Amino acid sequence: MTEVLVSKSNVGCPKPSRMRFSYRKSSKIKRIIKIVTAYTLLLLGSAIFLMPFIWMISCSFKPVEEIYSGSLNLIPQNGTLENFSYIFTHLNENNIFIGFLNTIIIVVPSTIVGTLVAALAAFAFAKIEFPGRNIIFFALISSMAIPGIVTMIPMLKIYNDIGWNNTWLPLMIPGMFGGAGAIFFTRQYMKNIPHELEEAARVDGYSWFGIFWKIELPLAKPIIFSNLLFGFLGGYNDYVGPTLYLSQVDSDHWTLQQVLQKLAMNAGGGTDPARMMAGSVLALIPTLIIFLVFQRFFFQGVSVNGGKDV
Amino acid sequence: MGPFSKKINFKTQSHIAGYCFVILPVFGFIFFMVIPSIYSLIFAMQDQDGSFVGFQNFAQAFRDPYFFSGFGNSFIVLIGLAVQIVVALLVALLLTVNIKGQSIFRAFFFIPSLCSAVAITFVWKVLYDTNYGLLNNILWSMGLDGINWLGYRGMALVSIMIKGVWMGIGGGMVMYISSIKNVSKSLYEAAEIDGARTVRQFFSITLPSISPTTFYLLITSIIGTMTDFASYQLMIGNIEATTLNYAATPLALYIYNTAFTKSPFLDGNTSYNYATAMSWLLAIVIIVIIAGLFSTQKKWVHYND
Repeated sequence: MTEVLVSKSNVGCPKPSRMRFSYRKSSKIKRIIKIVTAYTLLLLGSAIFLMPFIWMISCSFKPVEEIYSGSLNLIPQNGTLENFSYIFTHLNENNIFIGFLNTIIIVVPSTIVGTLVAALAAFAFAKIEFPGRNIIFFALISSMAIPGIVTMIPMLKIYNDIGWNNTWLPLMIPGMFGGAGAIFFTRQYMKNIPHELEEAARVDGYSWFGIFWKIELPLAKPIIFSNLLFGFLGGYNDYVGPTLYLSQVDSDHWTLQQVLQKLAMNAGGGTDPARMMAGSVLALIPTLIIFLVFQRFFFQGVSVNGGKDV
Repeated sequence: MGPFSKKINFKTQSHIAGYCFVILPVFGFIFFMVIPSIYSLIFAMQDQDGSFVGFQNFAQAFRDPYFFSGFGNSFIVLIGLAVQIVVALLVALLLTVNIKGQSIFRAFFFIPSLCSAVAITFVWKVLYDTNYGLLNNILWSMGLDGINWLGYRGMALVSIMIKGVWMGIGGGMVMYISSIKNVSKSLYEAAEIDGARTVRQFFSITLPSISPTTFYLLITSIIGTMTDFASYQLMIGNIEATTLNYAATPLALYIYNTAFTKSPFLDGNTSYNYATAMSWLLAIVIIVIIAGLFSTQKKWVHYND
């Protein structure tokens, strides 16, 4: 598939041997063809790709009968806000706002603390020499290979023994110890920050923590932001954690995803696709806003290969 | 205090700082990985009453047809992963071509990754519905037969894969974009002077330079896919016992069922012990796969540091 794509952008291009004579002209044509191909493929790809998403929005404005009729209309025939108003008027059963608030209370502190803890450790792994540094680093990273499913059941038992089950603690505390992935990427990023900076700071009398806080952390902003954003997104959309650890809390303590799931399941024993879609649209609004505001941070920082033109 | 003692001081100070800075993740590693893993091994070697039974639970797995079909399904779903990584790379390549509206297209392709598994599964269930689903209605309007998307093993696995690919592309794309942008421009300039064409450039510069990302994605998504049970449970949880008769259940979901809902092999009972034993077998296979990938790493993964 790859070959097809790349060679397509070459169609009509002069052979390399002729390129030497009309290098400028041919590279201009090449560029135009490249752009046209890119646009065509992108438009086509995103149309297919966005279809489920657009259908979700479309269905959220349809009466459930219209969905059941199997109509292919993208613009609802009998557009209605009833699905949304149902959610807003049945807050005593499934309060999507409380769910949202609970999720924020659980996720935000955990993400911030976890990101900073991971950044501090990554700084030590990248910049400070101490015995056993590499062994500790590889032990932490290798923990990514142990599938969570192995520790899931014992964790449930342990949380039960220490009284954490059906509280928010299992969703908040583990993340605060800094994830292996975040440590890995932050270390990778900090390794590319020149050593001269911290040496100069040391001459100025900075402590190691001072160097981290005043110099490295601000310079590592892209990866820190990207960790914060992905951490938040993961926590906000988490379904497994609440299913396992919040199975018996009262509905006031549900997370957003739990509310969302109950919202779909409640309707008359079965499922109500229209309300499901409306709930899903509402739940997506905050993450969509965050993504659009911070978009550039999503696309920098997370690189496994080294730095730019070193 | 001469310069000598000051130097030693700095060294000790560095050691202390180093250990202090990494202590929390190390504690996290001990509390949330090492201790539960030990517990997990103990559980796997006990029966329901807590008495030691050795490897009986492990042996039981080898007599359990659902265990094997689960393993098979977990492997089949990995095909989707390959598609996902290739498509993510293609999209990332398109999105690093310098064109107007790039950020809008990036947003388009990332939107599925913003949705939760719960919301996504709802949407796909509506798309896949045999009566009112969008996909079947499109097929019908073209005069074709509808497809029973989740009705039997083969199709259910394909449907789950399609959904997984759709959901997973955004994450891979983001990583590929940042690593493609990190490929040294001077390499391309040199290739341009040598007259290397775009295809050549892709295979001899881009692909090797981003191989660490491919490697990382491969490993993390194999772990993610093979241990994921939530999205399968949301997708086929209500029909896996009835319509599908557990035929399309991947091992991770079967383990979850055995621990928390019901196991068809244990006559509808649950067992933490049997479930943990199976989770270790799954973990061993995953670790073997990863070790295998690491041993091939030297051949195709190029780090530039």
